[in-house]
Amino acid sequence: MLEHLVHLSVTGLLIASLLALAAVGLSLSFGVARFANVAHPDFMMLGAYATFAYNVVLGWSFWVAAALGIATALVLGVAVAWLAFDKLPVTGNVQLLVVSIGVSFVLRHVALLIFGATPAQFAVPLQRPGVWGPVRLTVNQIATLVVAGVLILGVHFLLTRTRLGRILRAMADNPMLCQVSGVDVDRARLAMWAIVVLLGAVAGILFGLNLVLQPNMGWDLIIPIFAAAILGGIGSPYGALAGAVTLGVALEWSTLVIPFQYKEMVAFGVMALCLLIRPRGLFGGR
Amino acid sequence: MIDYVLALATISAVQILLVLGLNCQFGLTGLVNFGQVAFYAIGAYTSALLTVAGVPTIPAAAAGVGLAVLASALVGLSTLRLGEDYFAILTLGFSETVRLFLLNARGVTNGPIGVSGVPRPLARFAAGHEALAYFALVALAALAAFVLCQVLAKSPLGRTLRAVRDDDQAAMALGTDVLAFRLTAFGWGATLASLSGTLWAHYVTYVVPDQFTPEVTFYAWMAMIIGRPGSMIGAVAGTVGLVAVLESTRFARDVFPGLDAIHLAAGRQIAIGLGLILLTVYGGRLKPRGAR
Repeated sequence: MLEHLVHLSVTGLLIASLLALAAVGLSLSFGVARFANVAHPDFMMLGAYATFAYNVVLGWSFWVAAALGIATALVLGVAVAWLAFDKLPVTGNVQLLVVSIGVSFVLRHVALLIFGATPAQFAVPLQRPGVWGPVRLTVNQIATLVVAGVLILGVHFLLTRTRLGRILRAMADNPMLCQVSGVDVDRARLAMWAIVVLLGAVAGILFGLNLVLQPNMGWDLIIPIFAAAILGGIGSPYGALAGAVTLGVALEWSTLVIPFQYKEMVAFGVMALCLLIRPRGLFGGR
Repeated sequence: MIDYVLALATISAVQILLVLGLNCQFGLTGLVNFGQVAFYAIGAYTSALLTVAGVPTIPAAAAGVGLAVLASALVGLSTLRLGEDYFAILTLGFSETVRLFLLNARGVTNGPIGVSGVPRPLARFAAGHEALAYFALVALAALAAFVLCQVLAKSPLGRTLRAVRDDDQAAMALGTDVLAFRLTAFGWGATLASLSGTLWAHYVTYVVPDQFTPEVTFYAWMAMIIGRPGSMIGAVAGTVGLVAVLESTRFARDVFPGLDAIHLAAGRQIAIGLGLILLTVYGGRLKPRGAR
Protein backbone atom coordinates (compact mmCIF):
# COMPACT_ATOMS: atom_id res chain seq x y z
CA MET A 1 0.00 0.00 0.00
CA LEU A 2 2.72 2.43 1.03
CA GLU A 3 4.71 1.38 -2.02
CA HIS A 4 1.70 2.09 -4.23
CA LEU A 5 1.27 5.50 -2.61
CA VAL A 6 4.93 6.35 -3.24
CA HIS A 7 4.58 5.23 -6.85
CA LEU A 8 1.47 7.39 -7.31
CA SER A 9 3.21 10.36 -5.72
CA VAL A 10 6.14 10.07 -8.15
CA THR A 11 3.76 9.89 -11.13
CA GLY A 12 1.88 12.81 -9.59
CA LEU A 13 5.09 14.84 -9.38
CA LEU A 14 5.81 14.12 -13.04
CA ILE A 15 2.36 15.38 -14.04
CA ALA A 16 2.75 18.27 -11.62
CA SER A 17 6.01 19.36 -13.26
CA LEU A 18 4.26 19.65 -16.64
CA LEU A 19 1.19 21.31 -15.11
CA ALA A 20 3.46 23.72 -13.25
CA LEU A 21 5.21 24.93 -16.42
CA ALA A 22 1.84 25.56 -18.06
CA ALA A 23 0.10 27.00 -14.99
CA VAL A 24 2.97 29.37 -14.08
CA GLY A 25 2.88 30.77 -17.63
CA LEU A 26 -0.91 31.08 -17.51
CA SER A 27 -0.79 32.91 -14.19
CA LEU A 28 1.95 35.23 -15.43
CA SER A 29 -0.03 36.14 -18.56
CA PHE A 30 -3.23 36.57 -16.54
CA GLY A 31 -1.45 38.93 -14.16
CA VAL A 32 0.18 41.04 -16.86
CA ALA A 33 -2.32 40.91 -19.75
CA ARG A 34 -5.39 40.70 -17.50
CA PHE A 35 -7.50 38.09 -19.24
CA ALA A 36 -7.83 34.31 -19.05
CA ASN A 37 -6.08 33.04 -22.17
CA VAL A 38 -8.05 29.99 -23.25
CA ALA A 39 -5.49 29.37 -26.04
CA HIS A 40 -2.69 29.05 -23.47
CA PRO A 41 -2.65 25.21 -23.37
CA ASP A 42 -2.27 25.22 -27.16
CA PHE A 43 1.23 26.67 -26.79
CA MET A 44 2.08 23.17 -25.50
CA MET A 45 0.78 21.64 -28.71
CA LEU A 46 2.75 24.22 -30.72
CA GLY A 47 6.06 23.26 -29.05
CA ALA A 48 5.38 19.54 -29.33
CA TYR A 49 4.45 19.58 -33.03
CA ALA A 50 7.23 21.98 -34.00
CA THR A 51 9.67 19.50 -32.44
CA PHE A 52 7.84 16.61 -34.11
CA ALA A 53 8.33 18.26 -37.50
CA TYR A 54 12.13 18.37 -37.10
CA ASN A 55 12.44 15.08 -35.21
CA VAL A 56 10.14 12.77 -37.18
CA VAL A 57 9.27 14.51 -40.46
CA LEU A 58 12.86 15.64 -41.13
CA GLY A 59 14.43 12.84 -39.08
CA TRP A 60 16.85 14.93 -37.00
CA SER A 61 18.02 13.88 -33.54
CA PHE A 62 15.63 14.62 -30.71
CA TRP A 63 17.74 17.20 -28.86
CA VAL A 64 18.47 19.23 -32.01
CA ALA A 65 14.81 18.98 -32.94
CA ALA A 66 13.72 20.10 -29.46
CA ALA A 67 15.97 23.17 -29.59
CA LEU A 68 14.73 24.12 -33.06
CA GLY A 69 11.17 23.25 -32.05
CA ILE A 70 11.32 25.63 -29.10
CA ALA A 71 12.71 28.37 -31.35
CA THR A 72 9.99 27.79 -33.96
CA ALA A 73 7.24 27.70 -31.32
CA LEU A 74 8.60 30.93 -29.85
CA VAL A 75 8.44 32.73 -33.19
CA LEU A 76 4.97 31.41 -34.06
CA GLY A 77 3.49 31.60 -30.58
CA VAL A 78 4.74 35.10 -29.78
CA ALA A 79 3.62 36.32 -33.21
CA VAL A 80 0.13 34.90 -32.66
CA ALA A 81 -0.15 36.23 -29.10
CA TRP A 82 1.19 39.66 -30.07
CA LEU A 83 -1.14 39.96 -33.08
CA ALA A 84 -4.25 38.57 -31.42
CA PHE A 85 -3.94 39.83 -27.85
CA ASP A 86 -1.84 43.01 -28.06
CA LYS A 87 -2.36 44.51 -31.50
CA LEU A 88 -6.06 44.00 -32.20
CA PRO A 89 -8.19 46.99 -31.26
CA VAL A 90 -10.09 45.17 -28.52
CA THR A 91 -11.18 46.50 -25.18
CA GLY A 92 -11.92 44.51 -22.09
CA ASN A 93 -11.39 40.98 -20.91
CA VAL A 94 -14.62 39.58 -22.39
CA GLN A 95 -13.54 40.44 -25.93
CA LEU A 96 -10.06 39.03 -25.28
CA LEU A 97 -11.62 35.84 -23.87
CA VAL A 98 -13.64 35.32 -27.05
CA VAL A 99 -10.62 36.17 -29.23
CA SER A 100 -8.53 33.61 -27.33
CA ILE A 101 -11.21 30.96 -27.94
CA GLY A 102 -10.97 31.80 -31.65
CA VAL A 103 -7.17 31.55 -31.57
CA SER A 104 -7.42 28.14 -29.89
CA PHE A 105 -9.83 26.84 -32.55
CA VAL A 106 -7.53 28.05 -35.34
CA LEU A 107 -4.28 26.69 -33.83
CA ARG A 108 -5.66 23.24 -33.05
CA HIS A 109 -7.28 22.73 -36.40
CA VAL A 110 -4.38 24.06 -38.44
CA ALA A 111 -2.29 21.43 -36.60
CA LEU A 112 -4.97 18.86 -37.43
CA LEU A 113 -4.83 19.81 -41.12
CA ILE A 114 -1.03 19.53 -41.24
CA PHE A 115 -0.35 16.55 -38.98
CA GLY A 116 -3.65 14.62 -38.93
CA ALA A 117 -5.61 13.35 -35.94
CA THR A 118 -3.67 10.12 -35.33
CA PRO A 119 -1.64 10.21 -32.10
CA ALA A 120 2.06 10.56 -32.89
CA GLN A 121 5.28 9.96 -30.99
CA PHE A 122 8.79 11.35 -31.06
CA ALA A 123 11.52 9.17 -32.56
CA VAL A 124 13.31 8.36 -29.31
CA PRO A 125 14.52 4.92 -28.20
CA LEU A 126 12.47 3.01 -25.63
CA GLN A 127 13.99 3.11 -22.17
CA ARG A 128 14.15 0.67 -19.33
CA PRO A 129 13.25 2.37 -16.04
CA GLY A 130 15.78 2.54 -13.23
CA VAL A 131 14.51 1.10 -9.97
CA TRP A 132 15.19 2.56 -6.53
CA GLY A 133 13.01 0.71 -4.02
CA PRO A 134 9.40 1.61 -4.87
CA VAL A 135 10.50 4.39 -7.25
CA ARG A 136 10.78 3.53 -10.95
CA LEU A 137 11.85 6.28 -13.34
CA THR A 138 13.09 6.30 -16.93
CA VAL A 139 15.85 8.68 -18.04
CA ASN A 140 13.22 10.72 -19.92
CA GLN A 141 11.15 11.08 -16.77
CA ILE A 142 14.17 12.21 -14.76
CA ALA A 143 15.00 14.68 -17.55
CA THR A 144 11.40 15.96 -17.37
CA LEU A 145 11.66 16.65 -13.65
CA VAL A 146 15.08 18.31 -14.01
CA VAL A 147 14.15 20.50 -16.98
CA ALA A 148 10.90 21.61 -15.35
CA GLY A 149 12.70 22.35 -12.08
CA VAL A 150 15.43 24.37 -13.78
CA LEU A 151 12.92 26.39 -15.81
CA ILE A 152 10.79 27.18 -12.76
CA LEU A 153 13.92 28.29 -10.88
CA GLY A 154 14.81 30.40 -13.92
CA VAL A 155 11.42 32.11 -13.80
CA HIS A 156 11.92 32.74 -10.10
CA PHE A 157 15.28 34.44 -10.71
CA LEU A 158 13.88 36.36 -13.67
CA LEU A 159 10.98 37.69 -11.61
CA THR A 160 13.02 38.57 -8.53
CA ARG A 161 16.50 39.49 -9.77
CA THR A 162 16.12 41.19 -13.15
CA ARG A 163 14.81 44.53 -14.37
CA LEU A 164 12.32 42.75 -16.66
CA GLY A 165 11.04 40.75 -13.69
CA ARG A 166 10.51 43.91 -11.66
CA ILE A 167 8.64 45.50 -14.55
CA LEU A 168 6.41 42.44 -15.02
CA ARG A 169 5.56 42.31 -11.33
CA ALA A 170 4.84 46.02 -11.35
CA MET A 171 2.59 45.63 -14.41
CA ALA A 172 0.65 42.90 -12.66
CA ASP A 173 0.18 45.19 -9.65
CA ASN A 174 -0.67 48.44 -11.38
CA PRO A 175 -0.38 48.75 -15.17
CA MET A 176 -1.39 52.43 -15.24
CA LEU A 177 1.22 53.51 -12.73
CA CYS A 178 3.78 51.43 -14.61
CA GLN A 179 3.01 53.20 -17.87
CA VAL A 180 3.15 56.71 -16.46
CA SER A 181 6.48 55.98 -14.82
CA GLY A 182 8.00 55.50 -18.25
CA VAL A 183 8.03 51.73 -18.63
CA ASP A 184 7.79 50.51 -22.22
CA VAL A 185 4.66 48.46 -21.54
CA ASP A 186 4.39 47.06 -25.08
CA ARG A 187 7.90 45.66 -25.03
CA ALA A 188 7.42 44.19 -21.57
CA ARG A 189 4.26 42.43 -22.77
CA LEU A 190 6.16 41.03 -25.73
CA ALA A 191 8.84 39.69 -23.37
CA MET A 192 6.09 38.24 -21.18
CA TRP A 193 4.57 36.35 -24.14
CA ALA A 194 8.03 34.99 -24.99
CA ILE A 195 8.46 33.61 -21.44
CA VAL A 196 4.94 32.20 -21.44
CA VAL A 197 5.30 30.52 -24.85
CA LEU A 198 8.73 29.14 -23.88
CA LEU A 199 7.33 27.53 -20.70
CA GLY A 200 4.34 26.15 -22.61
CA ALA A 201 6.39 24.81 -25.51
CA VAL A 202 8.83 23.02 -23.20
CA ALA A 203 5.90 21.55 -21.25
CA GLY A 204 4.43 20.30 -24.53
CA ILE A 205 7.70 18.71 -25.65
CA LEU A 206 8.14 17.00 -22.26
CA PHE A 207 4.53 15.82 -22.44
CA GLY A 208 5.18 14.36 -25.90
CA LEU A 209 8.35 12.70 -24.65
CA ASN A 210 6.44 10.84 -21.94
CA LEU A 211 3.07 10.30 -23.67
CA VAL A 212 1.78 10.99 -27.20
CA LEU A 213 1.16 14.03 -29.40
CA GLN A 214 -2.31 15.01 -30.62
CA PRO A 215 -3.63 18.30 -31.97
CA ASN A 216 -5.93 18.40 -28.92
CA MET A 217 -3.17 17.58 -26.41
CA GLY A 218 -3.16 21.09 -24.95
CA TRP A 219 -6.91 21.62 -25.06
CA ASP A 220 -7.47 18.31 -23.24
CA LEU A 221 -5.41 19.65 -20.32
CA ILE A 222 -7.31 22.93 -20.07
CA ILE A 223 -9.22 21.91 -16.91
CA PRO A 224 -6.20 20.74 -14.86
CA ILE A 225 -4.07 23.71 -16.00
CA PHE A 226 -6.68 26.29 -15.05
CA ALA A 227 -7.49 24.34 -11.88
CA ALA A 228 -3.81 24.48 -10.85
CA ALA A 229 -3.59 28.22 -11.58
CA ILE A 230 -6.85 28.98 -9.74
CA LEU A 231 -5.90 26.75 -6.80
CA GLY A 232 -2.73 28.78 -6.45
CA GLY A 233 -4.54 32.10 -6.87
CA ILE A 234 -4.60 33.08 -10.56
CA GLY A 235 -2.17 35.90 -11.30
CA SER A 236 0.42 34.57 -8.87
CA PRO A 237 3.16 32.45 -10.52
CA TYR A 238 4.38 31.04 -7.19
CA GLY A 239 0.84 30.07 -6.26
CA ALA A 240 0.52 28.32 -9.61
CA LEU A 241 3.59 26.22 -8.81
CA ALA A 242 2.17 25.20 -5.44
CA GLY A 243 -1.25 24.62 -7.02
CA ALA A 244 0.23 22.40 -9.73
CA VAL A 245 2.14 20.22 -7.25
CA THR A 246 -0.90 19.89 -4.98
CA LEU A 247 -3.23 19.10 -7.86
CA GLY A 248 -0.83 16.73 -9.65
CA VAL A 249 -0.29 14.56 -6.58
CA ALA A 250 -3.93 14.81 -5.45
CA LEU A 251 -5.18 13.67 -8.88
CA GLU A 252 -2.95 10.58 -8.77
CA TRP A 253 -3.99 9.77 -5.22
CA SER A 254 -7.63 10.20 -6.20
CA THR A 255 -7.27 7.14 -8.47
CA LEU A 256 -7.12 5.05 -5.29
CA VAL A 257 -10.80 5.75 -4.65
CA ILE A 258 -12.16 7.13 -7.95
CA PRO A 259 -11.74 5.37 -11.34
CA PHE A 260 -8.89 6.97 -13.28
CA GLN A 261 -11.11 8.03 -16.22
CA TYR A 262 -12.68 10.60 -13.91
CA LYS A 263 -9.42 12.48 -13.24
CA GLU A 264 -10.52 15.53 -15.27
CA MET A 265 -13.75 15.60 -13.32
CA VAL A 266 -11.80 15.55 -10.06
CA ALA A 267 -9.77 18.50 -11.36
CA PHE A 268 -12.98 20.30 -12.25
CA GLY A 269 -14.41 19.56 -8.80
CA VAL A 270 -11.26 20.95 -7.16
CA MET A 271 -11.54 24.12 -9.29
CA ALA A 272 -15.25 24.63 -8.53
CA LEU A 273 -14.82 24.01 -4.80
CA CYS A 274 -11.84 26.35 -4.65
CA LEU A 275 -13.82 29.11 -6.37
CA LEU A 276 -16.74 28.54 -4.02
CA ILE A 277 -14.77 28.50 -0.78
CA ARG A 278 -11.62 30.49 -1.45
CA PRO A 279 -11.65 32.25 -4.85
CA ARG A 280 -8.27 33.88 -4.17
CA GLY A 281 -6.68 30.47 -4.15
CA LEU A 282 -5.18 28.38 -1.39
CA PHE A 283 -1.90 30.20 -1.57
CA GLY A 284 -2.89 33.84 -1.50
CA GLY A 285 -2.86 35.61 -4.85
CA ARG A 286 -4.78 38.72 -5.65
CA MET B 1 -34.64 19.03 -52.17
CA ILE B 2 -37.77 19.72 -50.12
CA ASP B 3 -36.49 17.23 -47.56
CA TYR B 4 -33.18 19.05 -47.43
CA VAL B 5 -34.78 22.46 -46.89
CA LEU B 6 -37.02 20.95 -44.23
CA ALA B 7 -33.97 19.46 -42.49
CA LEU B 8 -32.18 22.83 -42.57
CA ALA B 9 -35.26 24.57 -41.20
CA THR B 10 -35.58 22.03 -38.38
CA ILE B 11 -31.89 22.33 -37.48
CA SER B 12 -32.22 26.13 -37.48
CA ALA B 13 -35.26 26.06 -35.22
CA VAL B 14 -33.50 23.73 -32.74
CA GLN B 15 -30.44 25.99 -32.74
CA ILE B 16 -32.60 29.12 -32.30
CA LEU B 17 -33.63 27.84 -28.86
CA LEU B 18 -29.98 27.37 -27.92
CA VAL B 19 -28.93 30.81 -29.18
CA LEU B 20 -31.90 32.56 -27.55
CA GLY B 21 -30.88 31.00 -24.24
CA LEU B 22 -27.30 32.20 -24.65
CA ASN B 23 -28.56 35.62 -25.67
CA CYS B 24 -30.60 35.94 -22.46
CA GLN B 25 -27.46 35.05 -20.52
CA PHE B 26 -24.84 37.11 -22.32
CA GLY B 27 -26.76 39.64 -24.43
CA LEU B 28 -29.22 40.58 -21.70
CA THR B 29 -27.31 39.88 -18.49
CA GLY B 30 -23.64 39.86 -19.50
CA LEU B 31 -22.88 36.31 -18.37
CA VAL B 32 -19.94 34.92 -20.34
CA ASN B 33 -21.22 31.35 -20.65
CA PHE B 34 -18.64 29.24 -22.49
CA GLY B 35 -20.40 25.99 -21.58
CA GLN B 36 -23.87 26.28 -23.12
CA VAL B 37 -23.40 22.84 -24.73
CA ALA B 38 -23.43 21.24 -21.25
CA PHE B 39 -27.10 22.09 -20.71
CA TYR B 40 -27.92 21.08 -24.28
CA ALA B 41 -26.25 17.71 -23.59
CA ILE B 42 -28.06 17.29 -20.27
CA GLY B 43 -31.41 17.86 -21.99
CA ALA B 44 -30.59 15.54 -24.89
CA TYR B 45 -29.25 12.65 -22.80
CA THR B 46 -31.86 12.83 -20.02
CA SER B 47 -34.70 12.80 -22.50
CA ALA B 48 -33.10 10.13 -24.69
CA LEU B 49 -32.35 7.77 -21.79
CA LEU B 50 -35.76 8.21 -20.18
CA THR B 51 -37.83 7.82 -23.37
CA VAL B 52 -35.85 4.75 -24.42
CA ALA B 53 -36.65 3.34 -20.96
CA GLY B 54 -40.35 3.92 -21.69
CA VAL B 55 -41.06 7.26 -20.01
CA PRO B 56 -43.40 9.51 -22.07
CA THR B 57 -41.73 12.41 -23.92
CA ILE B 58 -43.08 15.35 -21.94
CA PRO B 59 -42.05 14.16 -18.45
CA ALA B 60 -38.68 13.13 -19.94
CA ALA B 61 -38.15 16.61 -21.38
CA ALA B 62 -39.22 18.16 -18.07
CA ALA B 63 -36.71 15.99 -16.21
CA GLY B 64 -34.00 17.26 -18.57
CA VAL B 65 -34.96 20.86 -17.86
CA GLY B 66 -34.99 20.20 -14.12
CA LEU B 67 -31.54 18.66 -14.20
CA ALA B 68 -30.16 21.49 -16.37
CA VAL B 69 -31.54 24.17 -14.04
CA LEU B 70 -30.12 22.35 -11.03
CA ALA B 71 -26.72 22.14 -12.73
CA SER B 72 -26.86 25.83 -13.65
CA ALA B 73 -27.59 26.72 -10.03
CA LEU B 74 -24.61 24.68 -8.79
CA VAL B 75 -22.22 26.12 -11.38
CA GLY B 76 -23.64 29.61 -10.92
CA LEU B 77 -23.46 29.65 -7.14
CA SER B 78 -19.74 28.94 -7.14
CA THR B 79 -18.71 31.64 -9.63
CA LEU B 80 -21.44 34.16 -10.45
CA ARG B 81 -20.17 36.41 -7.66
CA LEU B 82 -16.69 36.47 -9.20
CA GLY B 83 -15.37 38.12 -12.37
CA GLU B 84 -16.27 37.12 -15.94
CA ASP B 85 -13.03 35.21 -16.43
CA TYR B 86 -13.79 32.76 -13.64
CA PHE B 87 -17.33 32.18 -14.85
CA ALA B 88 -16.16 31.65 -18.45
CA ILE B 89 -13.51 29.12 -17.42
CA LEU B 90 -15.76 27.28 -15.01
CA THR B 91 -18.60 26.94 -17.54
CA LEU B 92 -16.14 25.78 -20.22
CA GLY B 93 -14.69 23.26 -17.75
CA PHE B 94 -18.19 22.14 -16.81
CA SER B 95 -19.12 21.44 -20.42
CA GLU B 96 -15.98 19.36 -20.96
CA THR B 97 -16.64 17.54 -17.67
CA VAL B 98 -20.17 16.67 -18.77
CA ARG B 99 -18.86 15.38 -22.11
CA LEU B 100 -16.21 13.25 -20.39
CA PHE B 101 -18.86 11.89 -18.04
CA LEU B 102 -21.04 10.90 -21.01
CA LEU B 103 -18.00 9.24 -22.59
CA ASN B 104 -16.81 7.35 -19.51
CA ALA B 105 -19.86 6.49 -17.40
CA ARG B 106 -20.71 3.46 -19.53
CA GLY B 107 -23.14 2.09 -16.96
CA VAL B 108 -25.41 5.12 -17.25
CA THR B 109 -24.82 6.65 -20.67
CA ASN B 110 -23.56 3.70 -22.71
CA GLY B 111 -20.22 5.47 -23.22
CA PRO B 112 -18.98 6.30 -26.73
CA ILE B 113 -21.70 4.14 -28.33
CA GLY B 114 -24.38 6.48 -27.03
CA VAL B 115 -28.12 5.92 -27.04
CA SER B 116 -29.97 5.04 -30.23
CA GLY B 117 -33.60 4.41 -31.06
CA VAL B 118 -34.82 7.61 -29.40
CA PRO B 119 -38.51 7.83 -30.41
CA ARG B 120 -39.68 10.77 -32.50
CA PRO B 121 -42.92 12.16 -31.08
CA LEU B 122 -45.93 12.83 -33.34
CA ALA B 123 -44.80 10.02 -35.66
CA ARG B 124 -47.97 8.10 -34.86
CA PHE B 125 -50.26 10.92 -35.87
CA ALA B 126 -48.53 11.97 -39.05
CA ALA B 127 -47.69 8.80 -40.93
CA GLY B 128 -45.85 9.75 -44.12
CA HIS B 129 -45.24 13.34 -42.98
CA GLU B 130 -43.12 12.74 -39.88
CA ALA B 131 -40.46 15.25 -40.86
CA LEU B 132 -43.02 17.98 -41.52
CA ALA B 133 -44.89 17.30 -38.28
CA TYR B 134 -41.66 17.38 -36.30
CA PHE B 135 -40.63 20.62 -37.95
CA ALA B 136 -43.98 22.12 -36.95
CA LEU B 137 -43.38 21.07 -33.35
CA VAL B 138 -39.85 22.51 -33.26
CA ALA B 139 -40.91 25.71 -35.01
CA LEU B 140 -43.70 26.15 -32.48
CA ALA B 141 -41.22 25.70 -29.63
CA ALA B 142 -38.83 28.20 -31.20
CA LEU B 143 -41.64 30.70 -31.72
CA ALA B 144 -42.83 30.32 -28.13
CA ALA B 145 -39.27 30.75 -26.85
CA PHE B 146 -38.81 33.84 -29.03
CA VAL B 147 -42.01 35.44 -27.73
CA LEU B 148 -41.10 34.63 -24.13
CA CYS B 149 -37.57 36.04 -24.54
CA GLN B 150 -38.93 39.15 -26.21
CA VAL B 151 -41.42 39.66 -23.35
CA LEU B 152 -38.62 39.04 -20.86
CA ALA B 153 -36.38 41.61 -22.55
CA LYS B 154 -39.10 44.27 -22.46
CA SER B 155 -40.30 43.50 -18.92
CA PRO B 156 -39.09 45.14 -15.69
CA LEU B 157 -37.13 41.92 -15.07
CA GLY B 158 -35.33 42.43 -18.39
CA ARG B 159 -34.53 46.00 -17.42
CA THR B 160 -33.02 44.82 -14.15
CA LEU B 161 -30.96 42.20 -15.99
CA ARG B 162 -29.58 44.91 -18.30
CA ALA B 163 -28.78 47.03 -15.27
CA VAL B 164 -26.86 44.09 -13.78
CA ARG B 165 -25.03 43.70 -17.08
CA ASP B 166 -24.11 47.37 -17.49
CA ASP B 167 -23.06 48.14 -13.95
CA ASP B 168 -23.44 45.47 -11.30
CA GLN B 169 -21.93 47.72 -8.60
CA ALA B 170 -24.59 50.40 -9.16
CA ALA B 171 -27.35 47.79 -9.27
CA MET B 172 -26.07 46.34 -6.02
CA ALA B 173 -25.94 49.77 -4.42
CA LEU B 174 -29.61 50.27 -5.36
CA GLY B 175 -30.52 47.12 -3.45
CA THR B 176 -30.69 44.67 -6.36
CA ASP B 177 -29.81 41.10 -5.43
CA VAL B 178 -27.34 40.74 -8.30
CA LEU B 179 -26.57 37.07 -7.65
CA ALA B 180 -30.26 36.09 -7.68
CA PHE B 181 -30.88 37.89 -10.97
CA ARG B 182 -27.80 36.32 -12.56
CA LEU B 183 -28.89 32.87 -11.39
CA THR B 184 -32.35 33.51 -12.85
CA ALA B 185 -30.95 34.48 -16.25
CA PHE B 186 -28.48 31.58 -16.19
CA GLY B 187 -31.24 29.12 -15.28
CA TRP B 188 -33.57 30.43 -18.00
CA GLY B 189 -30.82 30.09 -20.59
CA ALA B 190 -30.10 26.56 -19.34
CA THR B 191 -33.83 25.74 -19.67
CA LEU B 192 -33.88 26.79 -23.32
CA ALA B 193 -30.60 24.93 -24.00
CA SER B 194 -31.98 21.78 -22.37
CA LEU B 195 -35.18 21.95 -24.46
CA SER B 196 -33.07 22.52 -27.56
CA GLY B 197 -31.04 19.39 -26.73
CA THR B 198 -34.22 17.36 -26.14
CA LEU B 199 -35.66 18.43 -29.49
CA TRP B 200 -32.33 17.59 -31.16
CA ALA B 201 -32.15 14.09 -29.61
CA HIS B 202 -35.69 13.25 -30.72
CA TYR B 203 -35.00 14.65 -34.19
CA VAL B 204 -31.81 12.71 -35.00
CA THR B 205 -33.09 9.77 -32.82
CA TYR B 206 -29.66 8.97 -31.34
CA VAL B 207 -27.16 10.69 -29.04
CA VAL B 208 -23.38 10.17 -28.78
CA PRO B 209 -20.88 12.22 -26.71
CA ASP B 210 -19.26 13.55 -29.91
CA GLN B 211 -22.35 15.65 -30.63
CA PHE B 212 -21.64 17.69 -27.52
CA THR B 213 -18.20 19.23 -28.06
CA PRO B 214 -17.45 22.92 -27.22
CA GLU B 215 -17.93 23.57 -30.94
CA VAL B 216 -21.70 23.67 -30.29
CA THR B 217 -21.24 26.42 -27.72
CA PHE B 218 -19.18 28.55 -30.05
CA TYR B 219 -21.54 28.05 -33.02
CA ALA B 220 -24.14 29.58 -30.74
CA TRP B 221 -21.75 32.40 -29.76
CA MET B 222 -21.09 33.16 -33.40
CA ALA B 223 -24.79 33.19 -34.27
CA MET B 224 -25.44 35.52 -31.33
CA ILE B 225 -22.59 37.88 -32.26
CA ILE B 226 -23.73 38.01 -35.91
CA GLY B 227 -27.22 38.97 -34.76
CA ARG B 228 -25.85 41.45 -32.19
CA PRO B 229 -26.02 40.34 -28.54
CA GLY B 230 -29.13 41.54 -26.72
CA SER B 231 -31.35 41.49 -29.80
CA MET B 232 -33.75 38.52 -29.87
CA ILE B 233 -34.63 39.06 -33.55
CA GLY B 234 -30.90 39.23 -34.23
CA ALA B 235 -30.39 35.89 -32.48
CA VAL B 236 -32.99 34.29 -34.76
CA ALA B 237 -31.60 35.87 -37.92
CA GLY B 238 -28.00 35.10 -36.95
CA THR B 239 -28.83 31.44 -36.34
CA VAL B 240 -30.65 31.01 -39.65
CA GLY B 241 -27.80 32.73 -41.52
CA LEU B 242 -25.08 30.69 -39.81
CA VAL B 243 -26.85 27.35 -40.35
CA ALA B 244 -27.34 28.23 -44.03
CA VAL B 245 -23.65 29.12 -44.49
CA LEU B 246 -22.19 26.23 -42.48
CA GLU B 247 -24.49 23.63 -43.99
CA SER B 248 -23.69 24.87 -47.50
CA THR B 249 -20.05 23.86 -46.87
CA ARG B 250 -21.31 20.31 -47.30
CA PHE B 251 -21.39 21.08 -51.00
CA ALA B 252 -17.74 22.14 -50.96
CA ARG B 253 -16.83 18.51 -51.65
CA ASP B 254 -18.72 18.62 -54.93
CA VAL B 255 -16.74 21.69 -55.99
CA PHE B 256 -13.35 20.55 -54.63
CA PRO B 257 -13.35 16.75 -54.96
CA GLY B 258 -9.95 16.42 -53.23
CA LEU B 259 -11.36 17.38 -49.83
CA ASP B 260 -12.04 14.60 -47.37
CA ALA B 261 -14.26 14.72 -44.30
CA ILE B 262 -11.41 15.53 -41.89
CA HIS B 263 -10.15 18.45 -43.95
CA LEU B 264 -13.65 19.78 -44.30
CA ALA B 265 -14.38 19.50 -40.58
CA ALA B 266 -11.07 21.16 -39.68
CA GLY B 267 -11.74 23.91 -42.23
CA ARG B 268 -15.11 24.61 -40.64
CA GLN B 269 -13.54 24.87 -37.20
CA ILE B 270 -10.86 27.25 -38.49
CA ALA B 271 -13.64 29.31 -40.05
CA ILE B 272 -15.44 29.41 -36.69
CA GLY B 273 -12.25 30.53 -34.94
CA LEU B 274 -11.47 33.25 -37.46
CA GLY B 275 -15.11 34.27 -37.56
CA LEU B 276 -15.21 34.70 -33.77
CA ILE B 277 -12.03 36.81 -33.82
CA LEU B 278 -13.03 39.02 -36.75
CA LEU B 279 -16.62 39.56 -35.61
CA THR B 280 -15.47 40.38 -32.09
CA VAL B 281 -12.81 42.82 -33.19
CA TYR B 282 -14.07 44.41 -36.38
CA GLY B 283 -17.80 43.71 -36.15
CA GLY B 284 -17.90 45.91 -33.06
CA ARG B 285 -20.64 43.60 -31.93
CA LEU B 286 -19.52 42.13 -28.69
CA LYS B 287 -20.77 45.04 -26.69
CA PRO B 288 -24.37 44.11 -26.05
CA ARG B 289 -26.90 46.50 -27.52
CA GLY B 290 -27.46 49.48 -25.28
CA ALA B 291 -24.33 48.81 -23.21
CA ARG B 292 -21.89 51.62 -22.71
